[in-house]
Amino acid sequence: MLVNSEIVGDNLYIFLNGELDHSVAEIVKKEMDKSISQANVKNVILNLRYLNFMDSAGIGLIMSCYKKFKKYSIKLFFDQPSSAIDKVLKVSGLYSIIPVI
Amino acid sequence: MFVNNMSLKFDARPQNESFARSVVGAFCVCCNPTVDVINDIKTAISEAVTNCIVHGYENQKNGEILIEATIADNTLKVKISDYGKGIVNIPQALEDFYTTREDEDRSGLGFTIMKSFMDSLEVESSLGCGTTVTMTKRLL
Repeated sequence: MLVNSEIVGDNLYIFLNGELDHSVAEIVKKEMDKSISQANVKNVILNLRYLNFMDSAGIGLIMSCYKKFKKYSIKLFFDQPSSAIDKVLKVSGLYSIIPVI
Repeated sequence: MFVNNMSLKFDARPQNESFARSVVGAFCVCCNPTVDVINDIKTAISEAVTNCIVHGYENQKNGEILIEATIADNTLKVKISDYGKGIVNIPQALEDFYTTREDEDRSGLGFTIMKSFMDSLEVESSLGCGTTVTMTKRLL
């Protein structure tokens, strides 16, 4: 599991690469928190193009980030969710609160 | 009729979640299922194994998980068992978004995903003895 991030203006792009399950959820969360504390961002764009597996541990992680960002008025978006994780996102209902750009 | 069986016993460690779902996914390949079907199965197995580790054994490292799988008539039947603490209230555990661990970023969607990604789901549990989840999925 690899987490990369890039800041462009007000936007923080986070790229998740690999398989997101319970075993790596804490590491991913810490990496995401680190990226967010680095800059005064308004939007976080979660790029899921190369995330080839995710289960409910990933959903829990994203829900927790969404709640945290809301307090700071930071908006969260998905970008290019892979077909492998699209079904999990649909079942979870996350698309209704986090739009795809 | 083509029948194939396998069983796999491993330590209840988070590092083995990926191992377990990959093994069951690979076991099903002999029936030539679609990539989507394999992904559904891997996701459901990951949920069941995570439940054994997080809830059955409460993250203690000395538990064992047993997976028994059979393919018959192009259908997978898979049982995932732990010998941990068991589930107090099964209908409640099966509810969408229900979690006993609000503080730990859990979505409460493990069983929801197992139900919607597989064709059937059964949960048997005995307090202090463990839990067995049995799921089936048509491969073709």
